[in-house]
Amino acid sequence: MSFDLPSSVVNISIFGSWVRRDNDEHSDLDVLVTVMDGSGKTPDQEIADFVRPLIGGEPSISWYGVNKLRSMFEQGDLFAWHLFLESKSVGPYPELQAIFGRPASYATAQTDIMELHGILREVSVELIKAPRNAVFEMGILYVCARNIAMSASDKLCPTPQFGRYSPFALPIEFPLTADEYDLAMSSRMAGQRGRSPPLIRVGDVEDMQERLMSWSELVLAEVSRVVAP
Amino acid sequence: MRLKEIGRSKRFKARLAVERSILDIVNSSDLSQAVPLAGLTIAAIGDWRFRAGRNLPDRLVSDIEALLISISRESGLLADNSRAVFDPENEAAAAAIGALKAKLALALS
Repeated sequence: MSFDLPSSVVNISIFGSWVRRDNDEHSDLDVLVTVMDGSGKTPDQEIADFVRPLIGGEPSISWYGVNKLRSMFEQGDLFAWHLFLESKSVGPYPELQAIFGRPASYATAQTDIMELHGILREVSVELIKAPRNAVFEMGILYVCARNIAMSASDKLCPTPQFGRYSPFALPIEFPLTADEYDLAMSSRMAGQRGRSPPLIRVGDVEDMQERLMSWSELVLAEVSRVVAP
Repeated sequence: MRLKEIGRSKRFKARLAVERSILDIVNSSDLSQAVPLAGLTIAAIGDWRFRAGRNLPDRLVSDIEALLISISRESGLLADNSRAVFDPENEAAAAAIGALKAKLALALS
């Protein structure tokens, strides 16, 4: 191969919204770099300089060792499915599917949803302790709702839904309006990307959390019904 | 919590606990009441610095910003979520974080 990156780099792929082509102003340009295990650290900047002209944007880079990623494919991790379905290699690298094959079946949807439900439940407790963290807690509601839906979509939708609006794709009515969901998403963006925090009232977080708790119980029940032997 | 964190909730929960404890120090302070800190990424800290700088002395805001960045770095919160992972059981880091949090509380008192 005639390019300047270290030979320890096994693969560079974009994944997520840019591959689905539903990227917008809130989207990261997610880039996965797979490296040989124990090969040391290649500076992010070196990768960014390589991929920037190929993909036309500033990458948000995640690094994985070959063994870790192979294990995730073998265990049917949802992230492996995300990569299998929504990644595209960059430059001369082979597709991830060609390296790791098809992931095993995603078998931990119920556990994952239960764990996220637990995180959702803690939000009201944390709000009582620290009401001025309302923006942060509202952002957690968004993360939990989105990720519960991603997990459930593998069982309840024709194809897994990895987009930001995955809760609206489930065959179970989502209890937040689009505006409410966007408000929660904006709160998360404030905490992660430094966008100006929206004005969030504690009562609104509590109200939305209650509705999301009921919804996530319905989602879990439906997933359990579908996966039952 | 990005998709990569599904199924790794022990680490995610520990990370949330650290974030909440630091946010609480800042946001429960009267100095920061009108300008809540929303997160502990460089971008979120930078945004807080910009907003707080309108109302608070520049020196104070700079000191707090530096402490927040140190705490985030020491906690592993600034690492990307793959190569350098958040380790809630790193005792040396926990001690350093504790000392930085005490300084942060003092700066905001």
